[in-house]
Amino acid sequence: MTTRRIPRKRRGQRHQFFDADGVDEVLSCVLRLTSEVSALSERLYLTERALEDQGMNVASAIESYQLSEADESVLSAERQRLIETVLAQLGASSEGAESIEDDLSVGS
Amino acid sequence: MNRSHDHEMAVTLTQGDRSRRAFVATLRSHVLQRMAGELRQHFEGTVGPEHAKSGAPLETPEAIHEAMKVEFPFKAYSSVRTAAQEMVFDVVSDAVDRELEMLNEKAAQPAKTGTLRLDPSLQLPKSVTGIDVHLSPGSYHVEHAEADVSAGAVYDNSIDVFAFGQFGKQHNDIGSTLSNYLRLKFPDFTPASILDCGCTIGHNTLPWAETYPDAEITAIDVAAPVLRYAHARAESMGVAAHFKQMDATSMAFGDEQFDVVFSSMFMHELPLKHLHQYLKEAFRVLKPGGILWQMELPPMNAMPNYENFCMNWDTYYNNEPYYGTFRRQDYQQLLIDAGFSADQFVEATMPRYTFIGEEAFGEAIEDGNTFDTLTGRMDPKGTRWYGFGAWKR
Ligand SMILES: C[S@@+](CC[C@H](N)C(=O)[O-])C[C@H]1O[C@@H](n2cnc3c(N)ncnc32)[C@H](O)[C@@H]1O
Repeated sequence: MTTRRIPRKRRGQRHQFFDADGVDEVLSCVLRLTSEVSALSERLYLTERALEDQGMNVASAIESYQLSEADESVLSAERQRLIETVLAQLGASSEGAESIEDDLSVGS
Repeated sequence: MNRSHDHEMAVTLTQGDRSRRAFVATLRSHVLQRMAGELRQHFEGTVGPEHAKSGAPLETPEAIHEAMKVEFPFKAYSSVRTAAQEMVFDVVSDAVDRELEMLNEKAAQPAKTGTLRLDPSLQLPKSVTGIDVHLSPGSYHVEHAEADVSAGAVYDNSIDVFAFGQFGKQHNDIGSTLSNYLRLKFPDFTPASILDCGCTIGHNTLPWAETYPDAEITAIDVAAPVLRYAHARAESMGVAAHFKQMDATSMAFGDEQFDVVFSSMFMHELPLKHLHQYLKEAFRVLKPGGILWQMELPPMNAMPNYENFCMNWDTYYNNEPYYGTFRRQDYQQLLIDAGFSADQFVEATMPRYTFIGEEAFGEAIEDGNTFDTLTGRMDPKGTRWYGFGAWKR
């Protein structure tokens, strides 16, 4: 687990918009995943440009690269972070008081 | 290294942070422009006419909501908008989490120009502590470390993503617009003391110091983390302001202290009872000859039904429980109830000062008010802010 001190999930129930259970959450996962894919492809794009600037063509080097233990642990931590991010809305509500938003909605 | 802002409380952004922030900002703008546009088309082209044909035309925002909420485009829009809203706070929290200690240390440095006065004994209102307002985990007040500023840092970082640039470079457009409006509209009015209520990180407090360099600027909020951050941010920008932890519904100031009392996007987060108390307090601390001004969401009765339906989304789905009730009020009556005279009521819609500049702004504010689809909305096509207030005579 990465240490996150700032909570990422708000208190209270999420709204359900679609009739079938879980659809809203799955949509949220897909969007988060898309964000990660977007970040990744931007990084790859920048990597290629940066290397190109130095006259390097990396495509074949990538295919023959042997991962070290250190590489493995970096990639593994990153995979874990990715999963936590993508699945963020599927866990239980974060700790803390229960939401009282329903009592408050009349503006007392 | 990439920094989030051009002040000292900025965080360092990795390439990944930048990509994710850019993605969520793009997603938000996609939802609010493109998907919202398609939703409107669905209403105008299908749902509206169908109801009209069947003899039950949709004539209130509530009726539109009832008819729309079963429609697929509304469900998709709402579901994506909710996910995007949650992602705003999520993506910006990464960098803040990484630099939390450093930020808190910086914020604890001795002040050079302004002051910070916290009141640990202050009882926070339930309207702040009871909900994670607009889906931000921990809201404005929760602390994750000793003397923590992270709620303020998350807020500052979220604005760019949330508003995709529509609040201006230093997030100060609303404060800049209002202060310049008063300066140009009332050239003989030169306030010596200005109070911002519900200032959060002071982003709309600081522009007043630029517009009225001789005035003393005070700002209050109930939440300590955002005030610590506001103070540190102001110090690093070299702007003198006095931040105090105080409840706007019962202020610790004496009577008749301020020439200007204003708030920005504050009233719609107050329960109705507190709203009345706040306005009474504002009246009390205002000097005779001074002005109260609220930058706010336009009132329901000034806006078309469909616009009201759109704005109500926040109150139904975005943890803004008081927003709808507030917009249903007669704003002039609210001020009369607080002690202002009816004939001292003023209201205006204003183009964005930091976007269009002094000259165009000066001309535009002579034209009077426009209430349309751009009023009070974040729209790259040209938002007009709305505000209202009254002179204390
Ligand atoms: C939406 S934010 C205001 C944003 C800011 N003024 C702007 O221009 O964008 C509302 C702020 O009001 C504060 N607040 C809520 N109730 C309050 C009260 N009774 N007295 C003072 N501040 C309060 C919250 O802590 C929060 O920082």
